[in-house]
Amino acid sequence: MIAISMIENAEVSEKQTDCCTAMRGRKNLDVVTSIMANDPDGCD
Amino acid sequence: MLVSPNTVTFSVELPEGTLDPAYLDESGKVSVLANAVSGSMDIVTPAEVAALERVRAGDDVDGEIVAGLLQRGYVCTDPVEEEARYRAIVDGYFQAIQEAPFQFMFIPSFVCNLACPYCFEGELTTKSPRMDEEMIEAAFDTIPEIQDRHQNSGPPYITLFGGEPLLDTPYHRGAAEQILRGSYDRGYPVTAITNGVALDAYVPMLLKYGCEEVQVSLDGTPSTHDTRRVFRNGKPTFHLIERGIDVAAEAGIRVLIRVLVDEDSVDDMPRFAEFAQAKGWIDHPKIRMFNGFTKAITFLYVTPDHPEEKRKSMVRGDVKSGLQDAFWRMVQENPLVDRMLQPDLARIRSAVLEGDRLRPNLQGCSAGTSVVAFDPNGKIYGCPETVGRPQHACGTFYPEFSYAAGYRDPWRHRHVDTVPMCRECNVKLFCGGGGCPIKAWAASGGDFNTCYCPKVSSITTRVETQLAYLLPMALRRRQEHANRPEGEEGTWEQMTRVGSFPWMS
Repeated sequence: MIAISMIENAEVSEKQTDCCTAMRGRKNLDVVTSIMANDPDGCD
Repeated sequence: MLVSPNTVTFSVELPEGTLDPAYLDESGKVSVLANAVSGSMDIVTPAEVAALERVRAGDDVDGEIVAGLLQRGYVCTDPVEEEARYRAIVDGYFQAIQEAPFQFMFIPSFVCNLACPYCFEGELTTKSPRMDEEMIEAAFDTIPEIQDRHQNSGPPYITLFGGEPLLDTPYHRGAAEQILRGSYDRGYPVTAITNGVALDAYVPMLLKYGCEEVQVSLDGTPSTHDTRRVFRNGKPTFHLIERGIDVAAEAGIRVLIRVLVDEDSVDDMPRFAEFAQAKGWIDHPKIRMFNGFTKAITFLYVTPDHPEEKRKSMVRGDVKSGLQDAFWRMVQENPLVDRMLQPDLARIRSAVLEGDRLRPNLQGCSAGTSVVAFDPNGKIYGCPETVGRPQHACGTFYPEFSYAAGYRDPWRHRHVDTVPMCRECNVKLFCGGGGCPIKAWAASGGDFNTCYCPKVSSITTRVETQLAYLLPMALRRRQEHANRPEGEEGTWEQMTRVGSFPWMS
């Protein structure tokens, strides 16, 4: 098992919050979900 | 012993030689376990995957392997405790939402001087009513009331939005200054989302009222950008925006540069990255660049009372198939583009590259909880993409205040557990649950707690695609660190540059 995430003592870079994060996050997500929404009938 | 309901097994194809062959399964792929409740992600051997499946089947499993799976949260001993861990994350999220910043977008007018072919405001931008002084004050006055209805006690922040909010006209200068001054006087941080062509002229005003951040768009090098983000008479805008970025950043204003990518521009990104590097933008402390994709907007014209056939046909996927694949291929072959955009469509970049905990995505879109837009018709909207389409308004701020709780509340509370189809899904925490709320509402005939649903296999593919991209990078950095002679520890910046991370030691 090779640990990738949730590493003990990981030094995670501090993310500076963008004021426009809400807008940007939403837009990126819309794109991602939309790509996958070619079949609107629902989940597998 | 049982498998945690939030444990997901991803199957990732990595370049030959990336890992010890002992990690490869029969198809030559590696398995990655992830659990967004425990925050863990691990590359596992076929034996460990088999052990997990035996736990799932209720069999006895080798103690050492199970101990590892248990320690990382992939299996658990008590379903009640596991549910409590999950519930704590959900409760913590909504607690955080109540205290998070709330974005209020002011649209003084829909008018814009550009004619970008993909603009979601489209025809609205050619002719528009204007917010007058009384309307702008009325919008400010409703902010506490709206926050109260959302049970939000976080700091409000104001975003100038449009149309183009920074048009260099007497009206727009007056309206922008009133909004900036109103924000400054109330102690609200303020930002602007602008096309950037007159940004340099606005920098003194932005500085005067303490605006710390603006967002502009550049779609590639001039030869690409100036085929789409042009004035209404077709004249180019690239160098005006470039100047605005430089002037603003030099003045100390953070500049976010959004790069919209489509099939025609994806191959231009490597040249654009070279341009951005030569400009000093990629490593500039005041500049951040990120990508989006151009998209279709037919869903804006659909409401629940339309016939089902129309709803089903107009609420649909936005991005032509293949664009995402082409984008990842391009980024994989061009590390400078990766440095420029740091793409993170599956929201796992920091977890994979830095060893951060995996972050659960409980609510795919922030528009429901912490965004409101005021338009120049006196209407309030929840999603900035729907502004100016009265069928999507959720209230009014002028001449009187009204707020449609029956519409807004189910939208606000929608999350991975309120959508029945998502509740039992083990990839829900990588998805946020049910896709775009407005699309779900429109397509279903008015029910927010439905899916406009990415297929589960597609969610999995999205994460696997990004893992295939990020894992070699993470493993290479780890290897480079392991090979470094002792005593070469440097500063964090130096270590990041050479690709070595303290957690790897």
